[in-house]
Amino acid sequence: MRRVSDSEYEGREGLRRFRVDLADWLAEHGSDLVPLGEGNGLAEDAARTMRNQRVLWEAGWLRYGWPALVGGSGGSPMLRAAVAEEAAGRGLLYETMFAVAEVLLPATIAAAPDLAAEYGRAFLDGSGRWCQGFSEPDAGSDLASLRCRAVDHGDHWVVTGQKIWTSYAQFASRILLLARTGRPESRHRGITAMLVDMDWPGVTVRPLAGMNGEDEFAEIFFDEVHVPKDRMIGELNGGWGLAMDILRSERGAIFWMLSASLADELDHLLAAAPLDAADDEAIGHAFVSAVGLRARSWTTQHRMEAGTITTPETSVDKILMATAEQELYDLARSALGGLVELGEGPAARRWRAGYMYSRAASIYGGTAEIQRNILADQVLGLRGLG
Amino acid sequence: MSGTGAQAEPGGLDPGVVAELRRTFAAALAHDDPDRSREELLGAGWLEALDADERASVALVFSAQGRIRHDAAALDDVVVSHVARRWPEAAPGAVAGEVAVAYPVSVGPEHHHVVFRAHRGARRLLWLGSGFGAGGVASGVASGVAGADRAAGSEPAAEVVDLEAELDGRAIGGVDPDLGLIGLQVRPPGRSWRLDGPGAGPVREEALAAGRVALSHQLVAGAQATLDLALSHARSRRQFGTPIGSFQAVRHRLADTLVALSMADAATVAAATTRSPVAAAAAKALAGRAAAVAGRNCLQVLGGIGFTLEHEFHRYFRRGLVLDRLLGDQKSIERELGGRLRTGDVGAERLVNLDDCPPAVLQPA
Repeated sequence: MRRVSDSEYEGREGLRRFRVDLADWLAEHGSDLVPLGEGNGLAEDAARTMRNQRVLWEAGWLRYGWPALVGGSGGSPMLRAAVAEEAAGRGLLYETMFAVAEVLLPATIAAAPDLAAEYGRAFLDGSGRWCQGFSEPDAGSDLASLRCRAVDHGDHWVVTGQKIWTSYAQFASRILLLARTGRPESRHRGITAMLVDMDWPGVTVRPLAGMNGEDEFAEIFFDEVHVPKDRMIGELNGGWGLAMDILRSERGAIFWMLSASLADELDHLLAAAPLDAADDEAIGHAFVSAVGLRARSWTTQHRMEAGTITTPETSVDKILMATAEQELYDLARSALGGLVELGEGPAARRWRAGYMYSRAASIYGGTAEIQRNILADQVLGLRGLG
Repeated sequence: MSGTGAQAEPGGLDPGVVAELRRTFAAALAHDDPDRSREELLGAGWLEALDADERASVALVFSAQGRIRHDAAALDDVVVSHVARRWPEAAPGAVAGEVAVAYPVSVGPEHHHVVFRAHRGARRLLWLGSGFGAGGVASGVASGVAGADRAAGSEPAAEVVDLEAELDGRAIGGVDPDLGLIGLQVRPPGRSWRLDGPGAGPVREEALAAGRVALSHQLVAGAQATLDLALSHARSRRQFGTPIGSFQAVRHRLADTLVALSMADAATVAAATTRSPVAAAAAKALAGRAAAVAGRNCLQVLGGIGFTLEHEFHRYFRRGLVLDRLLGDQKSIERELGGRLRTGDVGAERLVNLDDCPPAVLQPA
């Protein structure tokens, strides 16, 4: 593992050096990492991302931007974004580049350092994934109406209820769960966050087959699951604030990486599709959208670092992300001339999966309509009219 | 929207000075007599600020021009400063003093040049070739055939003309007569220096990029002003017993406008920071897109009153239409970039990186 001081990669120059050192390392050791297989299924992909996680953690790269509490070597969270970008650009995926780690770990570190120290490190070093248990069948955009119940039994809760849309739940060791600890009508005031082990009695996972051909999302059923109170994250009935912090951080490093992936995907399309001058305007439009997304994500990263961005403002990023991704795959579908709809073989399957998955971009993580409501209410100041 | 806690660029203006300039420039441009805008702006130290910190001062002046709608021909200064910096061998003093700029535009099938009225007294004229946006051909890779022919022919990238007489063009009415453009059909007579040969391309690219960044700031500020008008209306206008801003269909139009202009704003700051010609082209396209989105959505929210000359909306709308045309409009730029991507002239490169620092000084006042 690389042994370096915390201050080695500080500031703008440090970040630049970091990217160069990382690229050098990847050039030399990239073959220790495994790319995603072509259609080997979700379980195989999940195993590969975990393997890469362990290699990059051992090499020290995934320690940057995380505090010592979880085994990290400190520094700006932008270092994490830089690793994600460089790896994604080479088609290499690892576990904590995804939203789950980026959103759940910082929130847990802030609200429950003891839990973060004990279990967060296991997530980072590749020995145990976490997943996120927020949405329920009747609490999607209206998260404050969630009903999964945690009944107080002194030193533990008994949790009963259902979660849905949890990504990779079938591969996770732990779940950060939002449960109702207040009265049924307590809305956002009666929600508590807790860390639950997926192998505890009473937890059942049922994967949902998605139209992209993968069962990435899952339902989780909790049937009288005993959760010790020392697994509480943050304050009793303080889960709502935690959830809001989580939603904001989702749009930092993750979006930076996604914006880079989008540019790469456009490059792949340009190489793969038989294009002619009639396509120029659509190519240019998709490219310009990708450039705008990246620029916005860049300012957001810096404003998060400086603490000058509010959560509602990041709804702009979410809308841009979904729009740019769908524009790109609309272009792909049209330019690839039937490959998405009728093609066989690995390339066709890959483009088809990407196209189908892009349809969900304006739904997951808060629908495009909810994001517009948030902007209207909280950024444009239209809340409470009438 | 674009502000961060980052420090000013090394060698850039001190943030305190920038805050002061923001007020001074806005006051200069808001002068009662629009014809005095240029004089006032020069008096406020615009050229010195441009020299000291282009990224900050261009953002300040062009945002103010976009908001206030008085135009002081500051675009000429931006373009000329880049040509002068990169073209010292032109002729001693060729690009010095008050130099007006003639921008190529298409008017239907014809090609014209336009000059800002605020600079009509200038005795030198920088006559820009068609590579400066009209046909959208900045790279030599053809997208518009006519543009490619002109670019490939003997036309220089630009010329500086020592004018024999005061500029004599007709005022352009068009959709926005208030902007004060003068139209020129042919290059005015006078001794000239030609910017051509192998070194001309990079000079043109740099000057074009700087001009596009400036115009993008102006377009974004105009879109923001348009959104502000619609927001104010949405809060005060009542129908069915409630402000129309409570209706989701109205709110989503306003939110979409914010999204479009936030993206254009970030892209403009990124282009100003990286000085990449491709980033500047994308920023100009996004700014044109933002102006169009603001125009469409905000007029819809304003309804009938927005259509009348009694409301200010039309002034911003008109200005946006014309500014979109200068130095390449949204559609031509997208077409051009698409062609360059398709032919491999540019890659889908990452135009800004995490270690590029957005300026603290661009925070809203």
